Amino acid sequence: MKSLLIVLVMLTVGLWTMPVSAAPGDVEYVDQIFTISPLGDGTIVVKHRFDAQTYIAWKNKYGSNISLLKRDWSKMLSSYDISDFDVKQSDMDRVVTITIGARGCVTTRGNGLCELEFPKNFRMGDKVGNTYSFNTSSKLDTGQVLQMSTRVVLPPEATDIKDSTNEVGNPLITYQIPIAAVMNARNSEKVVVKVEQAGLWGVNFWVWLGAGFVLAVVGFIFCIVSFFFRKRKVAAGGVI
Amino acid sequence: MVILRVLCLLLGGFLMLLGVGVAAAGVVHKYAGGTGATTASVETLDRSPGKLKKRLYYKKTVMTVAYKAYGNREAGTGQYWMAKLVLENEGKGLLKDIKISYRIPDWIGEWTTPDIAPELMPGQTFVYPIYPHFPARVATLRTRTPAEMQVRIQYTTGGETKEVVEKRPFEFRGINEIEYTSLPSEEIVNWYDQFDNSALIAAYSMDSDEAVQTYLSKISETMGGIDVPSNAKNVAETIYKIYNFQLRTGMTYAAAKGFPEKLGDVEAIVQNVRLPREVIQNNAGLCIELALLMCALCDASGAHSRLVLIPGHAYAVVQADDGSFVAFECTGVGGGRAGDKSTFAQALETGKKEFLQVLRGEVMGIVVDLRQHQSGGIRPPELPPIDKDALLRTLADRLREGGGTGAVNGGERRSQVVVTEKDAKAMPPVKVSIPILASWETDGALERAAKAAAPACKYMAHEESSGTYVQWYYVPTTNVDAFLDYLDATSSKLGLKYSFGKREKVRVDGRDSLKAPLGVMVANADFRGEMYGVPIKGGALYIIYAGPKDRSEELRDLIDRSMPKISIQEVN
Repeated sequence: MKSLLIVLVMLTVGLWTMPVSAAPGDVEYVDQIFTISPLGDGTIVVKHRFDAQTYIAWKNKYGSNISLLKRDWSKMLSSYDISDFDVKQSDMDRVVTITIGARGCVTTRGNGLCELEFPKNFRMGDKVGNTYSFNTSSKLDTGQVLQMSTRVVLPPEATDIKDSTNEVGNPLITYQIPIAAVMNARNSEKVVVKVEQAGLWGVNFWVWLGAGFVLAVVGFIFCIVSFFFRKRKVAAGGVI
Repeated sequence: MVILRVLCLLLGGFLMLLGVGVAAAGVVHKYAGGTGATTASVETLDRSPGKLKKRLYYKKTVMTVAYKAYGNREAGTGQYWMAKLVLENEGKGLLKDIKISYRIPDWIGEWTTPDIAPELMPGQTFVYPIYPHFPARVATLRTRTPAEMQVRIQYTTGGETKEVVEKRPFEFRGINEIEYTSLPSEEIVNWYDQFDNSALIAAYSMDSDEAVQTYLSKISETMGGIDVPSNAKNVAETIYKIYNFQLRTGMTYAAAKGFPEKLGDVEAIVQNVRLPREVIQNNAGLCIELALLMCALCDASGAHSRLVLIPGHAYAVVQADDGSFVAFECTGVGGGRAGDKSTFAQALETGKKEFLQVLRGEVMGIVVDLRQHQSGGIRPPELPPIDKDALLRTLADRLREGGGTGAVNGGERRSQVVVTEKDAKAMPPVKVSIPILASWETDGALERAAKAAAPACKYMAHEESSGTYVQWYYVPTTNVDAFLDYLDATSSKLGLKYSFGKREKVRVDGRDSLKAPLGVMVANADFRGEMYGVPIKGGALYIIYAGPKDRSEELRDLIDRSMPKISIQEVN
């Protein structure tokens, strides 16, 4: 139904490289992590370390217009519903980190069976636990060498993970997800939404943990204090 | 005391338990899916109703020249969807057997075979981009045409089957209309935003079009063959042959404003760009049209071309098999108000300079790799067949006449022959008789002003009440464009602006002549009429009839009665 469109050299070439003359041997590094939630949504984190000239070109194009970068990525990820987009730039290290929230990355085939489709030229790489990873190195038109490290992380609850191909020959990962995990993820999402609406975004866990700890300490103190409330001993027969 | 002690102990115990409980709840919510997971089963979900939330994004306009891209989910990694449906299950139960189909009445008449998503669990999202396969006839649309996309969603939840149909209006753009960006004007922040759709320009590079192939074969025949583009020298030679052929056949650069130049240049975001076959036919083009034609010709010869867009301009860059590049300024053919023609070496040097500025980052630029985009799915439209023989005859005529039958559209021609003041004052070797109505003025102030502004105007008559007029000019050349350039220059002195339509052959007083419809803007009035070009010994006569647009029937009647009675007699 749809392809996982990240982790493509083509994409990186299209979005990152600018028409600049590169010195032979310039190397660019890209780390990409694609994490799938039990709901089938994804978080994509792309970290790109540029060489000096390409970074200048990148800044010229996107530096003052990050919405253009978002649009370009949204186009490339047209099979998903982009929910979040965040960019962090470090001029000192010439590193750009992009975090994208993408909904609807997985197709559910019924009874918890999920499918994650990849483009034809996608290499599955090595599988360790619930993570697929691979590294590539390629030479771009502009002369630079692009080194890419890619990881696809499936939900921890995923079981029966298999590689296959679909009817049009595209690589496919199928896995089974327990319905309880999906429901929990959904409930968790709802709680986060409620907390966000209450203006406590990002601190719900710590607020709860802290409140619990304080209550427990106060309770413990009460328990200790209770031992001081002893009955006074009075001598038999009169005043001492 | 005992009571107090017991109370403290109980309260302390309760608070400790509550504290542990609250902390545990925090942990559970933070790491949902771990311990304390909610229990759920398919049966429970099946019984509860799901709640469908839908969002339908769609393109408000479709560029018909690139209609194949909208139907190709692989094109541009799927970014050219026509519509995108996002379905979310906001309920507590399952949504099952979700079927999505669509139609576009008049274009895709029947509902498409539904695509099926078997299941959507609570909280899950399903994204369905729509890539409609438009029929080839959309490429025949010349102007904006409204249409409607209808999307049908069927699903089952809680044992009940439901159906929703969403309708969205959109417009097909004409085949020549290019929309450089799909962003609304208020969203445009920098120059790159204006070229959001630049990849779709690849659909204009039609190296396999019959007209382009025929044109290239004529170039090859005339210029002594086209080399295989194995290196930069061979590519440069190919460009040299194409360029010289264009110069010899009178190809002109129509230097009208043709390209978004600055930020906020909103009107220019949509531009009429003629197809390469139309540029060949008209023998004139804007910078982007000439560059696209050059790219198409070079691609047809086996090279790999790119179109470079810079603020206010476009040019071609061609890559040889060995990876070397040749940048070329295609507007060097000159024309319009752009200035003189450039030699091949000058055009090559200009192209090189422009491309280096882009490569060095001194000038903003977008390099559109036409071949890559085409192989990625942005393919040219299906076009009707052409009359190859007629095109070859036209090209042969142009070669013979040295560009004498160049472009016909107003303001887009350029003749290599100039009508000088001396030419304009030359007396015609003929006596011309044109029937007019008795009430018409023949030697009033208007006639004198017209003759003073344009000495080539030998005769004029007009009707005072309507403003309808007839005049004839003599110039000692048969080059039509030379006369039109002369007319442009002289009529502007009187505040007139002429434009001409397609020429056709007619006979005037037994002579093979040409006729072209014309429009004249006089102050704010819109005049229409006809021009007749009649070759005579040593030059040509140009007869012009024009009148107010709202009285065109009277003018038609006058022309129909007058033209057959025109008499042209040679004098010694």
